[in-house]
Amino acid sequence: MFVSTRNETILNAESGPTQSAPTPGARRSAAAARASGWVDLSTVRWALGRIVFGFAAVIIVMSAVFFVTRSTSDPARKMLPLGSSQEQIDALNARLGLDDPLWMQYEHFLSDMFHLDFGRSIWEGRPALEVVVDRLPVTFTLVGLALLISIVVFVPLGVIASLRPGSLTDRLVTALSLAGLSAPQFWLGAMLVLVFAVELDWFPTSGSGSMIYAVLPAVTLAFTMGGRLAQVTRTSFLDQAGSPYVTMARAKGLSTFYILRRHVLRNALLPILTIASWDTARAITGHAVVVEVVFAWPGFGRLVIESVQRQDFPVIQACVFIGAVLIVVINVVTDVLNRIIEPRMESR
Amino acid sequence: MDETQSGEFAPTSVPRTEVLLQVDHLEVSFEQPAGRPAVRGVKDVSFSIAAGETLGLVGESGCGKTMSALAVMGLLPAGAAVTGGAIMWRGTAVDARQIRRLRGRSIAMIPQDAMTALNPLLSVQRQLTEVMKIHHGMGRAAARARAIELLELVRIDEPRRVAVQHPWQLSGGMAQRVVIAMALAAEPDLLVADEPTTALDVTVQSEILALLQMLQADLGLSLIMITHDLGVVAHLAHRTAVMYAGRIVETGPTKRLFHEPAHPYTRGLIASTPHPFRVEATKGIPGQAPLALLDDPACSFRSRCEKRTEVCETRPELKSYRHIDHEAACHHAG
Repeated sequence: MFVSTRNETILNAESGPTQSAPTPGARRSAAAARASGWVDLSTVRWALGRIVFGFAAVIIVMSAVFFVTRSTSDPARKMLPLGSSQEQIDALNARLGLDDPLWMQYEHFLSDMFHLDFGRSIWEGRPALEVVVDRLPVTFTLVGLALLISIVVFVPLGVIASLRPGSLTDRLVTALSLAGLSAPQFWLGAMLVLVFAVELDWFPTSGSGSMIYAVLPAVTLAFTMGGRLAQVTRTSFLDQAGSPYVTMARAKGLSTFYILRRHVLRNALLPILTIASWDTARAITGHAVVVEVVFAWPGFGRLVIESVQRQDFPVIQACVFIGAVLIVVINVVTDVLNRIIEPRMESR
Repeated sequence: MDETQSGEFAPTSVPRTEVLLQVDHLEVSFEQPAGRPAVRGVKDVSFSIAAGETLGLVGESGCGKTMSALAVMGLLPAGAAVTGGAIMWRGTAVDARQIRRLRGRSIAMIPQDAMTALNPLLSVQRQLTEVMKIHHGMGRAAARARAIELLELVRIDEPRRVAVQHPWQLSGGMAQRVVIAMALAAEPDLLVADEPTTALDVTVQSEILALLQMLQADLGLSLIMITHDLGVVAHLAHRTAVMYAGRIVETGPTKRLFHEPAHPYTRGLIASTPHPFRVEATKGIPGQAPLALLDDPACSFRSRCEKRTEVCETRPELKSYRHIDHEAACHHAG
């Protein structure tokens, strides 16, 4: 970490925050394996492989951040007043460890990262990671609510649209989901505020406090997430509807609803799940930035913007780290779920 | 065909006391892209099937035999619809909604490719028991026990192990047996088997056919056997209907139809069937089968027919040939 001192590093190394990430993940997939009745070593090995892969991905992302910042910025010059002497700059660089050879800095950087030490926030003085982690629950609340709305509203819409392709219902759902998908969030958010907060006064315009504050930002996010989800659901259900096993299920005299619920849903779920988790990851690390700024929602996304504006490098790096870890975790969870639904995944 | 080999050929007809299903002048049409009139794929098809009887429905791909069967089951694909004729179940005309209620419970289907007809994500047991739960309101344990019984009935070894397996763990022959068990689950009166052996190895084919024959005899089921394989029909069917270009061109007791084929097409079909003990090359039918969709005011077979004359420019009606229940649609028959 280029702004943290080496002393801090050593201190933190001694206090030793442990690396506990792989175990819960592995345990989860093994439990999943047992629950569905096909516990075998290959599943556990596969899950471990996924987690190792995820770690590698985080390291690569963070390394990219390291080298890009190293090659494009000169923090000592920025931190000192204009017109400071070269000696002063060198002294600060030495204090920050920036006069070390690059490989040594990189080594320290990686070591710090493994100890989850990203230095202290320049703005708040607290450990950077703590600053970021503190913001996560509010963002999770927002994205969780948006995901819930997408699943409860948009997935059924996609199913209904798939029942009669080309019908009026189908076209209405498609229009709605495409509109939601393509409307810019800053505009959509502002429109929702205008109608439901300013005109109708059902919800507060912005801010946080109780769940009522989460409704409008969550709906804004849900349009983006759900729009895509409705489209994928429709396509996936349509794909399955043409399968011989659906004709067979009908020949068995099963009702349409029963066939959808018991036969089609599970087969159609894979792409839906994949897109839903992808959208969730995107929402946390991307869409939430816009929505949280529009609605003054004090979450992770707004922290990203604030820390960039304040040039709070430790916090920015901690944000990138947390973002990368979240994406990896969401991906691993998705893969595990996919395998539970579709045990043939590996043999395919 | 087996007649030269064993002398025994086609089951003798059963007394036709109770007609289960009667199809009268069935017509199935296909929607066409905007503006163009719908085309008829199945035209004026009539047949009936009595309790305990097996009817073979023979013809080349695209002749309309599968569409006729799907129409009977009310399972026509999107864009196809019954546009004429009547379907009668036990003497009463049934509409689409009533057919839906017969489906599974009274009429069951054995599909062409068992592997894809099974839901890949559900266990064999689940796919068997749901039929009993829905149609007979059976409880979980009773349905499970019955599922094992059914798997035994279709001669699956280790039914308990197979019951918890998923379709991708089954061989083609096992999948076909499972699908037959599924069709039997609700104790239907009529089975509609659509090329049930086409996707299988020859040895497995004969096992499945033997199984169907046994089940049919033991359970007193009626069976509609759709196939392009005359050997299958010769084995199983009491009566046979030959379809060509969307119409039935000859129908009669299987034995009679094979010994004295009246329609040149039937004769051609019989001549083109390979026989393991006959060395001489099989004789094909020259030309190609026309699309069933084409609406031909003349005899559809005339372009491939050796007996063709001017009279063939008008369409022949099905009429009796030598025997009251042996009918052929050919001007030159009899």
